[in-house]
Amino acid sequence: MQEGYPESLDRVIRALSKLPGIGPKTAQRLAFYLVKSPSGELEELLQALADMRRKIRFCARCGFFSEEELCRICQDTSRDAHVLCVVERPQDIFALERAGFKGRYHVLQGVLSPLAGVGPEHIRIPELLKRIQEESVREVILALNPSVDGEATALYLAQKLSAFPVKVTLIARGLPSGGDLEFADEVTLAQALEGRREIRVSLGKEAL
Amino acid sequence: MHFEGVALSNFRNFREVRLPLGKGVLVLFGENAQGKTNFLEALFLLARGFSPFASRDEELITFGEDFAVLSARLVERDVFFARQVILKKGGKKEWRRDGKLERKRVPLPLVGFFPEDLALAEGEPKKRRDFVDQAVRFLSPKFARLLGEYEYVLAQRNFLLREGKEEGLVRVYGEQLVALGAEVVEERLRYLRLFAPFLSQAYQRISGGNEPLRVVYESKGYSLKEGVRAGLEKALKSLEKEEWERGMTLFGPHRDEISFLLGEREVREFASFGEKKSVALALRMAEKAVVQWIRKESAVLLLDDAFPGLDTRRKGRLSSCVFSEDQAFLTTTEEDVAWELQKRGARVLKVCEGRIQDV
Ligand SMILES: [Zn+2]
Repeated sequence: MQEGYPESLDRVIRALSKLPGIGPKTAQRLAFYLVKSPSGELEELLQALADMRRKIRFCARCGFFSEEELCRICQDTSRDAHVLCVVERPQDIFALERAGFKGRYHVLQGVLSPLAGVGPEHIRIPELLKRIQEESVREVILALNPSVDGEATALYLAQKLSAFPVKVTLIARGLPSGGDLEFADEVTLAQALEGRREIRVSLGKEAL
Repeated sequence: MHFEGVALSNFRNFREVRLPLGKGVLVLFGENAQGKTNFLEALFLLARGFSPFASRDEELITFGEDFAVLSARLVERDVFFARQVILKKGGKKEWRRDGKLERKRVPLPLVGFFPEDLALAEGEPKKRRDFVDQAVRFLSPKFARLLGEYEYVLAQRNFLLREGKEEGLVRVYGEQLVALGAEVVEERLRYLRLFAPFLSQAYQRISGGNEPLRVVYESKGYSLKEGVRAGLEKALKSLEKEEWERGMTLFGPHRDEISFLLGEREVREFASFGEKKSVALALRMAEKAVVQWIRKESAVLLLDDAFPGLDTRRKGRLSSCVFSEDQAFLTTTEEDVAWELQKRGARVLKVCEGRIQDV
């Protein structure tokens, strides 16, 4: 416990400092602000958090954030259901939306890393293969983060998908290596989408 | 570059040391375990950003203290500046340049020889690979990430080979391994091509002999003849079956050997102790020469206990080398060595129980 803080305040500080990107100093600043925040503001935040907790789940089809069984994107009939963009995490979708992508998505909820205990059956790869068959998908765009794991996952998928009658393209190459899809600006991403390259895989051989 | 002064607090056995320094040869003289090596370690850490012994920060802080502060006044290309590093128990190092927080640092030109370096001449292949990798990393910051990625992919692949599963994924890691491995080997070769003539020269200066010291890069499990990438790709295919049987990756830069030849003799197997020590010294001297050649400025030289094991002739040659340096720090336990160097113009400091004084 921090020297001199009442226990309830200390608890809030510790809880806040567990959030990503928030260090102990910022956690303190936020907590002090919340303590004397104008009436209604704290209640609104509490309500919003409780609401989110209750309502938000992952879309049963694509894995994006949703308040219903299917997310807004999956329900939107004007979108091209034959083009599927595969991403690592739901938050990656926002950047692609800003870049003007008009197809559908598939969130893997992770990338392959056998050492960390993540094999193909632990991320949503089986669901992806099923969707490709059921939704008559014609093109799969692999938009994974340009990390070693992201690349391995993309190559693995390309290899798996070579058994299906789909065109497989890769966009992460256009992004700076080590960069993050979530923070890519829309111009870069739009260019990457535009210039996506088809990868043909024959027995683990990558032709770029 | 050279040090104009150093101040250490709570660093290993130095409670509080403040020392004005300058160009020339500086000899630290004293019994064992008084702090001579610790002082060189501090200089190394200040310049290069890490301990030459890969010590954890906690070990570097005086026992019972929470933090250590190392400060240096330096001159680089006629520009004076101060560099400071604060080591905190259980925290990250904090770097400052002229008092301001320094996030991205370029390592400063300094090369050190420590007795452990004898392993470069007689130890396991990994020692020599690490030597080259560290030298490359000094010159190209990108190399550290490349090597890290290679080792990561290798670990993933070996894990699956050992478990005997996920054939498709092993193939993917194989592809990545070849791509990253080719880059690692190319970088090493690029460095060694530059390094080899400097090494031969450095060895000649120390040994005085006519036998040239040569470097040979031996690829393991693949051939370099048709290019690195092609060789690795071939090995990936041809070794597949055996790799599954043995449960590990059987080719690539993590297995390669970098060997040194004196004439036709392999140093590791056939050289005498004196020759091995000379080779180890020459490796560091050549590393320094490459840094100077690329950075176009002088590098600081550290020699920890470099004289024992060398014959009189080689000792004499090494001291001559040292006196041509801009700034060199030597340690010795031998009094006559210290006086000899002092006669030739070196400044001698006595190190005793964590204190350093001019004599
Ligand atoms: Zn959806």
